[in-house]
Amino acid sequence: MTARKVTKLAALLAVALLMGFVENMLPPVLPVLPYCRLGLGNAAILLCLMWFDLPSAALIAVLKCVIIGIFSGAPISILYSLAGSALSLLGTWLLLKLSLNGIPAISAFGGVLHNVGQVLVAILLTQTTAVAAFLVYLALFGALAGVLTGFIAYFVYRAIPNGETNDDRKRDF
Amino acid sequence: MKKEKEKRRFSLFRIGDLFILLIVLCLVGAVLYSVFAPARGNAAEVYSDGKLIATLSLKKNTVYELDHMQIVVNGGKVWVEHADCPDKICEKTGKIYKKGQAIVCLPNKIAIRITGKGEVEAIV
Amino acid sequence: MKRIAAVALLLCLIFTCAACFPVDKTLNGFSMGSFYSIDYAGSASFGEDVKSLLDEIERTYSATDDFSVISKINSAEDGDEILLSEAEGEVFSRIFSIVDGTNRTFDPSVYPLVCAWGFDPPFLYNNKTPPSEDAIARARNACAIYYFVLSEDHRSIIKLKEESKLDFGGAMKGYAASAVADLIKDKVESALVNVGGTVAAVNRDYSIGVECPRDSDEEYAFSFTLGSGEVCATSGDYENFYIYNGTRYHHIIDSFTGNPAKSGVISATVISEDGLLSDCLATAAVVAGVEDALRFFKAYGVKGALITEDKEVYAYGLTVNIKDTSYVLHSSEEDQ
Repeated sequence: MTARKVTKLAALLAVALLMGFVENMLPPVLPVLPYCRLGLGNAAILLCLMWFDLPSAALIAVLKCVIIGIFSGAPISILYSLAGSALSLLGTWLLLKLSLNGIPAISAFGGVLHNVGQVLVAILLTQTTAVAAFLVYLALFGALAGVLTGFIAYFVYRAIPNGETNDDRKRDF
Repeated sequence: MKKEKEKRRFSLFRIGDLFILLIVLCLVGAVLYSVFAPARGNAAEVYSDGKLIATLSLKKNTVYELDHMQIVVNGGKVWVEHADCPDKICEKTGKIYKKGQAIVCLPNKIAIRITGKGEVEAIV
Repeated sequence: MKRIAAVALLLCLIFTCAACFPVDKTLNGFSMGSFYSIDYAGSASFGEDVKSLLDEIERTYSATDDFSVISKINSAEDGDEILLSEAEGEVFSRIFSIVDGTNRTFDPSVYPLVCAWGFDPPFLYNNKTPPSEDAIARARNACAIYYFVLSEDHRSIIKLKEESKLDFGGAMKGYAASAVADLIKDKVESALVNVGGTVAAVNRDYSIGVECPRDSDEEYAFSFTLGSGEVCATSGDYENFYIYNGTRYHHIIDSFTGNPAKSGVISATVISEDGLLSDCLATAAVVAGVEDALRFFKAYGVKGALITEDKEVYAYGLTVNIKDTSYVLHSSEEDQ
């Protein structure tokens, strides 16, 4: 891992964290699902997958979940977001590798998986299946939010392909 | 010279998107169904001569015997299995299960009504 | 450009009209350690006021808020005197009088025992085990309402024993529901205020269902009509509990035995126009058992319903419609 790569990963992590904190401060998008957010930070994770590889993205994802969990004052949320992120990351990486889908669609798929993962953990932890009733709404919402983040990730990628700007390419340390 | 179609590593849309779209449409369908689904009943109230004599839960399969007829609850539906009235309209009404549906047997003065969910405005 | 402006104007018009029409709406929030929601019809906006009212009640009376008057009392030493504001004094005197009237089956001084049993917030479900006999005995020593002496004018309270602690948790949801109902009654057409499970009906009657205390196929055990202006509080052994070695240990502690109440009553619902009273009596009923609880209902002139562990429902002054037919209804002679 080069210093250059570390810096880029750190930048992506910073963006993801920033998105997470800002979203937490805003009022919920849907009053019925208070903790359901847009997940714009996932655009950074997706970009990491597009620029680099699964281990790097996994690293940022884990760090993002842990840091946001600690600072939002609800450590239990780390468990939920890790589960959701893990499932989402695997699914996204798979689709990315298969190369059969456009980026927004891949992101939508990841969004659905993210919420599915969280619901599964919720069912395990609370030992009831009552949470499952929300699953359909959460999944749909996750898909739509995923499309949005997918578009964002795609256009950033277009502007900065391979994680390098023109300036990066010119200089050579 | 023939221009080759540029093969990008990532694109906005590809053929596999149809699959994802299918999943999303199913989700939309599921959401719409849960929101607008017909109100299935929870219990059947049995009235004799205007008085409530029994409330049968539609979730438990039972056979309820009355003097003049037999009422069966099975698979979330209720119906009159046999009655001794001359026209057997109650038997012919068939199986009911939706909130508000009813089976009436005038000669025997029996009425079976489905009461639905959401009767209360809050559960505490 | 003109078209966009026209559409925008139309949308604004639609939204303004929508805001004016009385439509069923819900307002949600989180305060006092649990969710609250208000289902209302009307177009006023009172969300901010409600939230600040609830937050203020929590700041004043919560045992977990470091600056509340309860915390001040709980962390005080032998012989300390804590001053109370007029409003606080009134709440204290009402609560203390109910403790007396229910023969201490409602007893906020039982908090040290509640903590010993592991039910002090935050209540985490996993790996709870019952405390040792010693721990229970030690906690019991600290639990007595007599360790708190409220002054004649209700403006101060003296704490006689350092380890004793108060917890108004069994009363404040009712108090809050009443307070919110009073706050919004002139601002809405009708509303149902729900603070952590205690509900208040504003300006019209509401049909309410009471949860089944144990697993059931039905959504609720029975339903009744909550009249306009009334507040309904429900307490039960199924709200906060853990199971260890097959035994259920729940959060309503009997100050006489030092253990979770085992009176036969597993769920109590009390309806009255005073939310604080409803909440206190509901808690008391679980400790007191059917006979004494019905006596309290009669003495205080409230309505109520009890569910026993044998799946019997005792209704007092209340017309109750059983939904889950595995419960058997016993109406008292005084019912409507």
